[in-house]
Amino acid sequence: MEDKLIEILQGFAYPVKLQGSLSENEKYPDHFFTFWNNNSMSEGFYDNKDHSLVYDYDVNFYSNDPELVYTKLREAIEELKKQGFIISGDGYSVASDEPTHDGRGVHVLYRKN
Amino acid sequence: MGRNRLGLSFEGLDLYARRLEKLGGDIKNVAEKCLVKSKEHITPKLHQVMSRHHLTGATEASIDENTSVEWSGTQGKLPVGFNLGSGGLPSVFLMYGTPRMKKDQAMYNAIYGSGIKKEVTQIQQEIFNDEILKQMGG
Repeated sequence: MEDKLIEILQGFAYPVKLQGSLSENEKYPDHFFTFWNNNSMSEGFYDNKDHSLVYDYDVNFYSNDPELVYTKLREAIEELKKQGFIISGDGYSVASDEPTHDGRGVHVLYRKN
Repeated sequence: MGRNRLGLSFEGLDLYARRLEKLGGDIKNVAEKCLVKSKEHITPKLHQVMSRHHLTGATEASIDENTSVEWSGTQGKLPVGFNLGSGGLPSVFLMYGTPRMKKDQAMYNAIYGSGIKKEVTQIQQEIFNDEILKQMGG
C-alpha cells in the first residue's frame, strides 16, 4: 500500500520521504512530501477472517514557498482521492525543523479489500 | 492549528437521540455528559504519554482541563488536548513529527487512534443507553 502512496506522491516530481527520516545534517529539499503509517486495521470480519484492511497515513508537504504548501497539498489531496484514498478536510499545519520551511499535513485512509 | 474538539459520534446516534426525546429525556444534558465523560477518558491518557516528554512541564500544563461545553445552536463542542496558545505548541511537533523527528505515536493515538475512538464511542453509547433505560423506569 505504501508503494501506491509513494508512487502517487512521486508523480508531483518532489522527493518523498518517511517522516522523521532526515538526518540532523541533511539539508531540507526546497519542496518535499513526507508520509507516516499510523496504523492498519482489519475490517469486514466474517467466516473468522478479515476481508478488508484500512491503512491510516499522515501525508505532509513541506516547502520554502508558503503558498505552495497550501496549493500542492490540495493538489495531492485531489489526486489521492482520484486514486481511491479517503480524505476528509483541507489539512492542518505541521511543524518544520527549519525556519525556512512551512508544512501542511492531511490524514489519509485507504481501504484494501 | 486550533485545539481539538470532541463531538458526539456513534452509529445510530440519531435513533438514540430521537428515542430519548420521545421518552422526555434531556438531550442537551445527556450530550454534555457524553462529551465530558469522553474528555475525562482521554485527558489522563495524554498526561500519561506526556510523562516521557517532561522537560519544563509547560506542554503538559497546557492540556485543557475545562469541562464546560460550548453550544452553538444544536451543536455542543468541548476542547480536548493541548492549548496551543498557552504553551502547547510543542505538542504539534510530538503529535505529527517533523522531517527530522519521528512522531510520538502513543500521543497521537491518545487522541486520534482507532482504539481511543472505539472507547469514546462506547462511553457515549452507554450514556445514551443508560438514560433511555432511566426514562423507561429501568
